[in-house]
Amino acid sequence: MTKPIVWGSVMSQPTRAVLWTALLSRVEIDFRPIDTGKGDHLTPEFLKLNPNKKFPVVQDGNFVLHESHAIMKYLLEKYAPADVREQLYPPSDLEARSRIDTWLDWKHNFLRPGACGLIRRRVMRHLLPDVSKHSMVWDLKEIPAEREERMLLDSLKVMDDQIAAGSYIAGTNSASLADIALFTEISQLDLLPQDVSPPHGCDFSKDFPNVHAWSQRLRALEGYETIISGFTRAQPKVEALRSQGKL
Amino acid sequence: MLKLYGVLGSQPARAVYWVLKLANADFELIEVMPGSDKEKPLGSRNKEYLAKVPPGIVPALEDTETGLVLWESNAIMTYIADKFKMNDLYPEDLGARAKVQQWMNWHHHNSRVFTFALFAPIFRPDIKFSEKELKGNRKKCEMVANLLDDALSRSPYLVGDKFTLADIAVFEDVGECAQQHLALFDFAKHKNVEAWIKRVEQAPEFKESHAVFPVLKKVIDKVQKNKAKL
Ligand SMILES: N[C@@H](CCC(=O)N[C@@H](CS)C(=O)NCC(=O)O)C(=O)O
Ligand SMILES: N[C@@H](CCC(=O)N[C@@H](CS)C(=O)NCC(=O)O)C(=O)O
Repeated sequence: MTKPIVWGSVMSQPTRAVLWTALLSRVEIDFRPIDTGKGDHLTPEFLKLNPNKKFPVVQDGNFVLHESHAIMKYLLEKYAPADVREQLYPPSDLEARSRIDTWLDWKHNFLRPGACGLIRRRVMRHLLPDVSKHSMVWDLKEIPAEREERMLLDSLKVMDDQIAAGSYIAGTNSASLADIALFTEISQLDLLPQDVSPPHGCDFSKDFPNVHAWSQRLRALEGYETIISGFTRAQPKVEALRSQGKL
Repeated sequence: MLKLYGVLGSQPARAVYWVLKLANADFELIEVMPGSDKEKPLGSRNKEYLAKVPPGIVPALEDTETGLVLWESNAIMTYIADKFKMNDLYPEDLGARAKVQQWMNWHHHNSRVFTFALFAPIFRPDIKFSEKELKGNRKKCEMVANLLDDALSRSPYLVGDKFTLADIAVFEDVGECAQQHLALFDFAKHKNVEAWIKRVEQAPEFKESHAVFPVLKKVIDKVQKNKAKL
């Protein structure tokens, strides 16, 4: 059987969430890195896979799919052992699945524009060799930084209250797809310079203690270290840029 | 008993309302005004509603029998479809279901832009968009219409030849802008989208679920008349 191909980048949150889900689903994939600096996401071949110019994209035989949440559910259903499926997105429990969906959908308009917006503004545009072909160029210019900061803080507050009522975001007893997708947005904040992170020196452990404790649980989840390693490799470069006063 | 919180002027609330109608479900619509913090009529930013729905958005669905509260229209629609076994709207086949999910997720940053660009500036003056952002969003509508036109040149509906939840989710923000409804966007250059909008309008319960269109159109006409006077 040929392995499913995943196009994406280890610097991209939705890609890492897909890679993490693939790992937990015990499916071997063929990873094809996309470099936006080189315009890999704008080639005619890529546009045939996703005319929307975004990654991750999965190609499984003739079947092509984009949108990370859709891909995560697909890989899980097709490849994961029954116990893993039951844990991450339980086929036997419609209400639990729907609560997981609620948080996945919520991420699109709340947590992601906050966390990802901020990281792109503070770090990525300096870190990546060339962002001119990335759609973030427009956002950086037209979306007010204050809105991103407010969205992040509001989102963290909503999550902190939610996690206070249970250990995981969708009220499940163990990590679900929602925790994986949301935590992947949160863990990217590790790249923010310490004294300004996240917005203006707010201290996670004090200001959002439940999110902090939850983050520790997620960091201990199988596969996290493997998936994040490509991303955290950028840390020394971030520090170097920072000491040169560029961040 | 199912309770739907929201107003039918809200695109995502209307999507859920339509699916509840299609399910022939027994439900009650409870008015909640988006963005308001008032107690009466209840606003989505009032503390009573926030206690139930922390992000303060409509729609939300409550199942009073099980105590389940869901928000986010896509999550609610797939819940209803699975609960009422509406396998046409939300196919059980792995590939087809994944494609429905793809479009529903895509919706958040694409079809939804029609609302930010064209609807919100009229109905939500409290949300402040800069002129440049509005212009960028209007340009994005063109891009989204092109993407849809391309997809719909290959199949009559977004996922193959069947009407699914993907069409409902994408229609509410895009279809309402058509000339025959709120006339906020001209799809003449996007023939496949234009034809798809008309096709979607033939689905059951469409009329019952979209009676608000003429009411909204009147508001738009009034706002535009006042603008012309200035
Ligand atoms: N909603 C999409 C978001 C995908 C997305 O934003 N991908 C980014 C990388 S993190 C991308 O492709 N950026 C390239 C560009 O926008 O130019 C998903 O969850 O897959
Ligand atoms: N992604 C959400 C969007 C919900 C949404 O944006 N709702 C608007 C009304 S259309 C709202 O309640 N806004 C509250 C506010 O602006 O404070 C969904 O699909 O349900």
